[in-house]
Amino acid sequence: MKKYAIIGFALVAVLVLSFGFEREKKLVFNEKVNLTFYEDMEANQTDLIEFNSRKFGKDLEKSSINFKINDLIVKQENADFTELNAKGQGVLHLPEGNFNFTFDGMVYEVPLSNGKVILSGGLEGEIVNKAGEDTISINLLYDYTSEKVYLGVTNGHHGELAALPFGNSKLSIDEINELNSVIAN
Amino acid sequence: MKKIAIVIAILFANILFSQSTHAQDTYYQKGITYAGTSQTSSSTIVMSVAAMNSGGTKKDNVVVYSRCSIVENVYNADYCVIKSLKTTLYASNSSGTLVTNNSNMIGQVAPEQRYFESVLPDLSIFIPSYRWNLVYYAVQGIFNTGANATSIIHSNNSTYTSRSVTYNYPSANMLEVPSTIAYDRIPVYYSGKAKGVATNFLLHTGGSHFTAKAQLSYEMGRITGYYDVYRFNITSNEAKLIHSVGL
Repeated sequence: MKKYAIIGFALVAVLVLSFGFEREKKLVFNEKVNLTFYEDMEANQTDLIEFNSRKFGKDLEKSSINFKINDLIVKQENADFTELNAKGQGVLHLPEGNFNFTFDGMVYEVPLSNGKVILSGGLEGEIVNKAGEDTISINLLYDYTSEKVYLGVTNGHHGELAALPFGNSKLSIDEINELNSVIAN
Repeated sequence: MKKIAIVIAILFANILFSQSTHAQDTYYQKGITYAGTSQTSSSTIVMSVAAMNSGGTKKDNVVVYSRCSIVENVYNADYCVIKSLKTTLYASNSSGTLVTNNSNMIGQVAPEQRYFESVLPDLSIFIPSYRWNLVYYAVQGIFNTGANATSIIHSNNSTYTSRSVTYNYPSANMLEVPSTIAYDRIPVYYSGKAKGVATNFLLHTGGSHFTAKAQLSYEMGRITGYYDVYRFNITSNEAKLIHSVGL
């Protein structure tokens, strides 16, 4: 009888532990342009926003993004982080039009030493913007703990980039450095 | 029982294959290319290609070097991280379906003999190149076991005429080359040293011309306050080199 009680207790313990952190399969974000970041880009990042008016249009301070990860599939799990494949779609709501995009890529779920759990990664996809067919790349930084998110969107590649920053993860530079060093190892 | 038979068959196939790569192969340098922008002449990727064709065995050796320092300079970034490297080999002289912009190619350099330590495929990493349905691959990718990365993904196009190897978070120590070293001096400068991420391709086709391509993805970060950091992915231009595998 005692044996069954121990087995039962162990089963419950395993269940509790495994549900301790439950990963959300779907993630939906709606964010506005981060004006602080955008002003800094206008002052210091001319190469980054060189093609903004051509690809995105004018009055970009009024833009927003709708971003949806449909599925997160675990590809690799180790003591330091979990590597997941993320797929989804979104819409860039710009004053001169709405532009749909799809994406696919690797994201990394990393528990930081201070207890926060972060989702970070780069997602690549296709978009048709004002200038025509283009590639889109989204830099995702999501803090599961505070539910704050940052989405850095670029269209095109080095030399013909358009870029817009949305939201703010409010993670410190030390936390971001820790994150990058854990993933890159 | 069936499983054991399959495992033994794979082991045997690997032994057969590996015997042919034990010897040191003679490769010929096919060219060094970079891909920058016409405005700034800032190259964010360098690719060196060498090939061999001996006794019916054709191989390609594609080595890529990164330029994080240029990304930092051009974008006034506070940091730069190499996120991924994708190296592709097409079994033709066409550019496939990928869009190429501003890829600067120098002409094929005079054949110069280069010697590489042959890469013996590790059993555990070599198996993913095969599929159970025995698809005939025109190009097969095997990566240098010395290339460190968080994950490495193999893929091919629908007609099996190209093969890609994607390295997520490849070792920056191996990839990064200071911008003070001109692109065409890199292979000489680092001769004999473990520099650059090498991808080796086996070519199972009668074709004579092949196209090697490589693209890097960086992350640049800028700090406007302790809790205010913004980041963007910067994709390099695509380095491209059409070459033969013969002399």
